[in-house]
Amino acid sequence: MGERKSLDVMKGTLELLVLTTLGSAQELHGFEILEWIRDSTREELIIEEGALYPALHRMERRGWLASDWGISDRGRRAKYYRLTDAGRRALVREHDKWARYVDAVSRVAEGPA
Amino acid sequence: MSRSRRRGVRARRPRVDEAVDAEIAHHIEERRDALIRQGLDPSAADREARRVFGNVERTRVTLMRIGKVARAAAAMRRGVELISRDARHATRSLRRAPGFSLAVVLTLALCIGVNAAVLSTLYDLVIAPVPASEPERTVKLFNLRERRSANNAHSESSWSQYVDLRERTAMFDGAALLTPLTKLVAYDGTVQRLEGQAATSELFDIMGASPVVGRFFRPDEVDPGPGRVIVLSQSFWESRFAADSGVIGRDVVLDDGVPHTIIGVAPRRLEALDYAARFTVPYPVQARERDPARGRYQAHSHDLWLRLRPGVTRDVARQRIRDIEREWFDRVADAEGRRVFQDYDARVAFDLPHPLGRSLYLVQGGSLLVLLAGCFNVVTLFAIRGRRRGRELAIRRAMGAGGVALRRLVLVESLGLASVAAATGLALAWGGTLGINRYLAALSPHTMPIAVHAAGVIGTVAVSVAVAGVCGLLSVEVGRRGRPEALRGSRAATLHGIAIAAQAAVGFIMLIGAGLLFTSFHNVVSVEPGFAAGQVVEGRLDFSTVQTFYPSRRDAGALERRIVDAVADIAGVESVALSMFPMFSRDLRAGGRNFMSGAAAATPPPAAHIVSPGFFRTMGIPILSGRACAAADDMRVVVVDALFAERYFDGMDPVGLEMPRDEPGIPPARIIGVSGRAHLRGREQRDIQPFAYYCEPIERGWWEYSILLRTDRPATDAVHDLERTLRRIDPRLPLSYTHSLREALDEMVVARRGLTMLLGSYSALAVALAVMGVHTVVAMAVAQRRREIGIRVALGARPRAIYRLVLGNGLGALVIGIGIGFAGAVALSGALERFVFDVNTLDPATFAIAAAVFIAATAMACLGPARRATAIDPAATLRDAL
Repeated sequence: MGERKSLDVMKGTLELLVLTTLGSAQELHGFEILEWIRDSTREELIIEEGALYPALHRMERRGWLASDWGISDRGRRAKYYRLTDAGRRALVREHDKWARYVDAVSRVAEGPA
Repeated sequence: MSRSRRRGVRARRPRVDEAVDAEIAHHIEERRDALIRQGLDPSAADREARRVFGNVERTRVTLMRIGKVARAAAAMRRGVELISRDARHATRSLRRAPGFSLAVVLTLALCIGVNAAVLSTLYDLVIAPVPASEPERTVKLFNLRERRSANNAHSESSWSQYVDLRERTAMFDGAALLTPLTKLVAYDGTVQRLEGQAATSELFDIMGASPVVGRFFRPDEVDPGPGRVIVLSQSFWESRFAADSGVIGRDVVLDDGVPHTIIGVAPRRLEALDYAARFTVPYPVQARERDPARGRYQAHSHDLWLRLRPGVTRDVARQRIRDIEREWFDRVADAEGRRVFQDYDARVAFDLPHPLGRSLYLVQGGSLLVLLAGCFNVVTLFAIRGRRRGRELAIRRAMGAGGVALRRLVLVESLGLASVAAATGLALAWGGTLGINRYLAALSPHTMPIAVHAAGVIGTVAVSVAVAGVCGLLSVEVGRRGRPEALRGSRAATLHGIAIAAQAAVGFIMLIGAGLLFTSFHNVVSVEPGFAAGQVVEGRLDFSTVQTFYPSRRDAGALERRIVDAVADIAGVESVALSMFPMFSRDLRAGGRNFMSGAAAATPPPAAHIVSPGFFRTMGIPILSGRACAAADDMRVVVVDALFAERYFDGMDPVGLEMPRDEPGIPPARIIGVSGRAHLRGREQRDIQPFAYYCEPIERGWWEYSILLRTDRPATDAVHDLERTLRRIDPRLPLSYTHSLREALDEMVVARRGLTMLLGSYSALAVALAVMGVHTVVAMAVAQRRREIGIRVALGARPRAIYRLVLGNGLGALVIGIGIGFAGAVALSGALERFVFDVNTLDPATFAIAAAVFIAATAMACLGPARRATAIDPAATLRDAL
């Protein structure tokens, strides 16, 4: 197998990843979300770490996420995010969209073979 | 991966920038710690953590932007939520106090409605600037007569004055002459008689108007000229031509059969010059040349508009015009001109007081007084509520509601009331102007309808919101302290007294005015017309039409005979006659000349009708002595009416006597009969002008006349038959002015009915406000003296004593108010002199009934609070006191 080049995260996909992550956890701060994605994709995906936060904040403004300031395990002040009801609905919607997208692309990509 | 669990400590919510910095810093620290755990040394780990994060500054800016928008939205949501919670609460608590809410809303709404309607009327009729784009420079010239009162000053100018002033270009950069006219307009197979105006081409430029579509006429487009043109008014274009811009270039045929091309549509603003004018045509050449040496100030209804050059003041312009007019008098006027205009002093004005101006300012003054008193009522109402709510507000405060929250709650409540009141009041004002406009159309068809203006709307809403806001806050203070300083003790009593007296005075004056008008209206419609109004139908043939198609008198006479014979054959027609003047017309005078001499000359001159045989039978006017006109009679014989005989012959039978007249060259007419008195100028002109009916044979050949027919069938059927019969004789003859004489009589009281209804509704509003004011003050007194009343009841006071105690608060002021109103009504009675009929402006019965109605209404209003006062439970009041 050797060195495999990791994949850049496509625009819009990041939101699905965040929704999915928070959908399976209670409350996480930004760094934890990143680590969770990295662990679950076995480090296949590269996310520019700074790009996570605008996505988080936009989703919060949209009402998909709610946040609270708390103290982390390491005793630091951290902003914790959780899914709202609207966020849960968005997760189902985005997941469905993604499934159709993958289905369509793979049908084209595998078609002639 | 460890899932961190938040500890129970909730950290403070930081500001946006702090939060962004803290979140980024936290991430980088976590990453650095992770890298150190993987074996990197701290400084390398720090560098690596920042590298993988990316551009820190850019992320920071992005997050700040998102954060600010989000916070603003959240703050707005919170605010809306708070206010809607307050609004729900306010609605609930106002619903629990329906009497209070209704009283506040009604009081404010009536005040706002009355003031907005009156102010709009005052503005549109009296204050509004001229409809020019530069109103301060644009003036209309009024030539004043020195010897007459200001009321007789008039605007009639002339072509010669227009030409003289137009050339003074150092002073004026524009002059336009404008005169009303009526024309038959044929278009698309219909013929209508329409009012319009003729103007010189500068008119549109002076007014700064641009066409809605098409263009205006040029100086070289004259009447008569090769290309005849017409400009339509916007209202006419919209109503008659459905605002179709395709009409430009089409022809309409005016009076004389000449096609005029529609070249443009004038904007609605210009309709303020003459609202009845449907079109504008170039000023006709033939009107220009008339008598330059003597026609200076008597061309019929000519308006001269001038635009002053920038920098030329009105005073300077007036002075210069005066010089010009003196020069004309000295140099141009001939002997006849000088004789006719000897009472002109070459003085001119640019503004004349509007005939209704004084009355309208008076009404507006009264309305403002009503508004002030109404505001005072509202303050009192809120104060009472504040007292009642004292306990509720105290509980709220005890439960942690801050002063700000309480004030906000009360403000929301009072502003809610104010907006309902403002909406109701504006609806009222709108309805009021609709009513005014309906009657304005009858009273003064040349005046533009009244509109409710945006400035008025904003002003009234601002006033009501301000009043309600102040009142709301005041009521919080009352609730907190128990009583407001301003409403305590004798000062309060004085203020209450003044408010009640003012409201009572205005209400009483209005009630008397309305009573006088109502009595007059009743008296007018009760006058017997003296002819069979319900059975006579009139239709009129027009001078221009008949003369165009039947230019010789012989042809016209033959046409008359054919018409009379054909109409007589219509089923149900009992009798037919012709009359040269329209029934009830204002033109009906003896050529304006007084043909009596001596003492009789001082009375209004008699009116002369010219009628055909059959006139008296058709009209149902009895012949008291002598005989009616017969087929062989002509203008050498005359029938006079009973009033004529009474006034000029001392009631003796004048049959066989000669009709005296002072006009030279006309042979005297012999009186052949005396008819009953018929009020052919309307019931209100009952005893003013005597009538003389000159006889003319049918075949005389008139060019314009009324066809009168007596029928037992409904008027609409008869009119229809008349039109069909005329069409059969000659389809080119348009019948105008068709109605039954009953309709015409009713039409004449429309304006009077309107005035009566307007003053009636206004007085109803004023009385309602006064009644509510008295009610409020008495209720306030009961609320304030609750404990005292309770103690009195406990000590055995009878209900009658309590009534007296409570009512004593308002009745004194009420009586004073009625006294002031009485004096005011006497002082202002002159203003109604013109409008009353068969009733004295100081009619004791009207005054007495008005006073009785007023006192009864206010007494009823006091009953509620007074009964509440007698029902006060002494035990409860004493318990409250502890």
